[in-house]
Amino acid sequence: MKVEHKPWLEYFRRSSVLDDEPVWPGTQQKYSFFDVHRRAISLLTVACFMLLAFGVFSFFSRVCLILFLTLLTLMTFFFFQARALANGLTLRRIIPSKTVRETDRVTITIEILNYSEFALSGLIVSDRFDASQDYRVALVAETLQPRSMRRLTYERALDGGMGVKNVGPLKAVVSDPLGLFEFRVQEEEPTEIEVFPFVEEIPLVPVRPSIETNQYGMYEVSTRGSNVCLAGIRPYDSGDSPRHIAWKLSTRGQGLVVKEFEKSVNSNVCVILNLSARWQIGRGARSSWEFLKDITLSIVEQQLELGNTVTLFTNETYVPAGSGNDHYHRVARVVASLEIRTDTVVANDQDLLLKYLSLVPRGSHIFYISSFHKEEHRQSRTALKRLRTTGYGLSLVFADTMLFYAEHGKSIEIAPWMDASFLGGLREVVHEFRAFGVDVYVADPKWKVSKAFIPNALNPSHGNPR
Amino acid sequence: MKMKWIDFYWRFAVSIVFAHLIVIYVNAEMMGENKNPHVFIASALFVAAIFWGRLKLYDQSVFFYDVDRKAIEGLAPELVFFGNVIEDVAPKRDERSMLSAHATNNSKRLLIMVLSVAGSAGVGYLWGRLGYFATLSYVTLPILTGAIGYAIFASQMMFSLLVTTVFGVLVFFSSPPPDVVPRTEFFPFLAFAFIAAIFFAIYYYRQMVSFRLNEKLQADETRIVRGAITACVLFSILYIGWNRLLPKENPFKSKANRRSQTEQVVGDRPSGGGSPLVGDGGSLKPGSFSRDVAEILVEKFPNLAKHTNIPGGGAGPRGGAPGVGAPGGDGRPGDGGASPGGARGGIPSGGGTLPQDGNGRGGSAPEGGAPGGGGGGGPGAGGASPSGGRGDMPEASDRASSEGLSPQNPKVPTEEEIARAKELAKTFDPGRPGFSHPGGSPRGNTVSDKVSNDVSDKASGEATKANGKSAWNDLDSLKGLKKSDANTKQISPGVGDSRGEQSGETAPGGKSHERSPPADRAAGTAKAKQTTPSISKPNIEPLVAKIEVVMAIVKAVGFLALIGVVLFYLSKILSSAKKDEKKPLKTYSLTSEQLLKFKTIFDQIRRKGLGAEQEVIESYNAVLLLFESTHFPRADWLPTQEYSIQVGTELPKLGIQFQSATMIFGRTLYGEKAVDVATLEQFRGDVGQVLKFFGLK
Repeated sequence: MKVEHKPWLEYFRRSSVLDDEPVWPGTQQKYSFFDVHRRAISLLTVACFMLLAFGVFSFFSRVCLILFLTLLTLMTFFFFQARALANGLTLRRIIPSKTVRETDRVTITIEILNYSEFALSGLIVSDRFDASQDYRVALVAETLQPRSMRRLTYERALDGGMGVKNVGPLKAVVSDPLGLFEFRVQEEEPTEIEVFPFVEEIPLVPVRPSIETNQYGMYEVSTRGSNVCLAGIRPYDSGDSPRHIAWKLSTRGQGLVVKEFEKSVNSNVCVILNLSARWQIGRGARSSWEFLKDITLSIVEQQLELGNTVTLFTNETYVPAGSGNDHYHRVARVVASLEIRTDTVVANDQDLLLKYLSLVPRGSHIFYISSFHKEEHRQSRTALKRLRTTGYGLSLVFADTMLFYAEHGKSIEIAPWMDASFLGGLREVVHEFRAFGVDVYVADPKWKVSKAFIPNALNPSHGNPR
Repeated sequence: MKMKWIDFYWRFAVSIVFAHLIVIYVNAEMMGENKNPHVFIASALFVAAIFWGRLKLYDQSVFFYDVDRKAIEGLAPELVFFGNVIEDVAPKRDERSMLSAHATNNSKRLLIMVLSVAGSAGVGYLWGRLGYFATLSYVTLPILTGAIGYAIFASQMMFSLLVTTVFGVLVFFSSPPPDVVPRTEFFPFLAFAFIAAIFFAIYYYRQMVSFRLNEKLQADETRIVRGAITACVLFSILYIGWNRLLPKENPFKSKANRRSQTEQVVGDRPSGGGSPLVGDGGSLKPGSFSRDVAEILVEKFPNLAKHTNIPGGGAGPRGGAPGVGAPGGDGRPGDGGASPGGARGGIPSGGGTLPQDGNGRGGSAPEGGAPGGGGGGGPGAGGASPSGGRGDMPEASDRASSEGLSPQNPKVPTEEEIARAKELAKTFDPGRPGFSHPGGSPRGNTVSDKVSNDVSDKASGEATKANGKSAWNDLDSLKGLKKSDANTKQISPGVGDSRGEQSGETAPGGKSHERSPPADRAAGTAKAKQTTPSISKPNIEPLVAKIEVVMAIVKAVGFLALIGVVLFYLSKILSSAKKDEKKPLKTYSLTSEQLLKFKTIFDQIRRKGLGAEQEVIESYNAVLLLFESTHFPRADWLPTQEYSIQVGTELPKLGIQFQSATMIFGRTLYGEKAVDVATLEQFRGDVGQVLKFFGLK
């Protein structure tokens, strides 16, 4: 455990929040002298003031001299007592499992061991649990006897998003019985916990079967199947390809017989997830990109369950086509680890579509998943329409970011003056693409992901999107 | 504000109010002179109004925020906003709201402030007018301010205190000085009440902070009180220790500037008494503690003291005793010593008859100035203590005091000093009006006292020659000689009565000139050759001596205890310096709620009078419940034997005992074997060890 004394200046520093310039004119006027300097009036400040006063008056009064020495001795004792307590304190975190699933609840146990010879009272233990939205943890323990231990627990919902999350550092503030001196005890390194995504089941999303695929699927194609699986035989009709004539069966005296292959094929699904930071808003789990990741995984899971082949493309990476559970785990792990990188902003998101177009098989069905933003739409609409016209199946999933904007508006200083019109116009965009033969889904973070794919729920044609 | 919060809040408020009321009451008691009701009531109203008014005016909508724990702490400060990473201002905004709510909360702030100013000004005026600031030293103000200032009503209380102080000080120094005689015996209580109030406030405040973070936390009143008392005791021990270690004279204080500011302020007032807080003695208690105790004991149990016949002309029960002249008395003219110690100071007070020039001017005795510093008879006379002595022999008394002579440490004069003192005695002019001997030292055996005694001896010898009687007889009588004299008048008993009643009339042809009022009274009452019957007086000296011995032992023991406490804490600090994590811990700390719960459970099991098998099963189940409550739960699928091994790994100190108990339990429950007495005893012992580890036994 790392033990350090609280920096001396922090005892006497005034409230840091008021150090900055006021954001709005007149804010500073609300506070009185005592408000501003309240943090400066700590117990130690008062004690030091008294010590100084007694020290000065000790030249004139014996009582003051005695009080000065008494207070000095007492403070010295308290300092060393607090230090002994801090040195004797050990904190341990017990996590039941290092791999957990999103939306589950987990109980963390904190073990506090007091190896010192003093009773430890007023101990405040703080922890940080990034896997939860309520990530601040503050625990207060009742008096801990000398050379004793205690366990405290806290429970958190794993709603802080997916991926590898930090837990910790575990900190404790140890002070003497009067709270004059503070020591901070901190664990050396935080622990990591991996949160696997919770994938919500969504209604069946129609995709276009790939004509050229040779894998079995649930889609019936109008053209003759080119599947390798033999469906049966039938008498020859004129026009049938001589290649499909079953010559051996035809020799049995029943005339020409033609082999017929299956027409049930699957679909090559390509999911293009636009995680460009330019269109994202939020923080942590309450963000548009986490929402987009949830949508992506729901679609991927469903498509893989249907037997389709799924390929994932994002700004940073891509996962080659595959199918089956193993592929799903692979995709899920990649999606869970995706982070928003604000340092490398993609200049033009049209590039995202064009960059991966050569990797998309012909006749594939493309899911384009993005946050709705007028500028993003302006950049990508041409490319999307071109995809549609070149024979690709296309479904658009837009995340409505207005809710995130409203939620985080209070965190933005310039919010009152910022025009939110760039988030509007979703209704027109939906109509435009629908008229073009594209399926458009609008996902609202207020609701579950599944609602976005329920007909007549948030369907723009029936609902009332902006 | 949640309901639990309000409860806690009220508890805090009531506790603080009570603590302050104690302080105020003790201060008011110190005032004496029937000022108590005014000061007490006014101050109580002031404190109560602060808490009650604020709560009521705010309609219980006061929110308490821990502004020292920043809201921004721990938050991810960055927010992604369409490609830009911006600073999140919400926490700061929250913190501003907290500050604002803490300070003002709503729009009634003006009303609060007006009421505070009015109330504080009134109380300040009253305190100042009644001389409250004479006893409430400047020393305590910062303490009080600090203690209250950090409490919940920081701004308002500090503001009110400021107003009160300003008004009080202004009135105190601008108005005619109040006639206040501080009662110094209350000072230790006052000091302790102050310390208790401070510690109490701090402990409660810390509990409130904890409560804010964890609302499930039990308000551990016992711990708060215990912690506060421990801290107070520690403070007191340190104070007493330093008081003993330091020399009585302030090492920083020069001789010429002995009196502190407050002492001067208070000492200049007609009340006369030195400030109890900053007296030269430096001790919290008045000097003659043993004597006071002895007197109280004698009053209650008269059989404890031998009764002595005090001859006429002897001092009263107090004045006649060998000098106890406590420091601090300044011997105002004619009132026989200001402080109690001074009043009691005169050894042969009033008994000294100095037939000097025969014109009755009386010398010291005619003026009532008693050798040994009893009562100040004449103007400028009667220095009761070395420090207060303003008599005609300043050298001797000053030297005595400067040499640090004290009642407890008498110094035997050398021959040279006695000879010099005799020379001085020969040269002094006893006929000078208002003459008196300088303040004699206590016990009558310091230098100045010796001088005084010498002079007295000489004078009394002459007086004896003249009258065949000696006023010095009263000293003899105190020594058990019982040389009563019929022609001296018995002075009135009581403190401060040592005013030399027999006066110069005992001298032949003695006449008093320019007498001071006490001397007049003495002269008027004491007629020469008037026969006064002797009365029986309790002789408390042996008792005092015994008490002093006891006190000395107690002090020595206390000092040793102090050293022991210091060494004990030192050893604790040093032993904590090395953390040995391999060494198993002694106990597991349960919360107060858990302790109560499991004590009840195990008590119930004991009281049921179960059979051996049933007791084993129920006790073991209760132990399992205990483990579960302390976050060592047993999984449903885990067999008890394996669980006991698991517990032994986590709690090594319990390993053997718990495994043994588990084995007995397994045999009893699953093996269905009968439990004999020896096994039951073993099981009880094992469970007892487990309970001990959890602090339940």
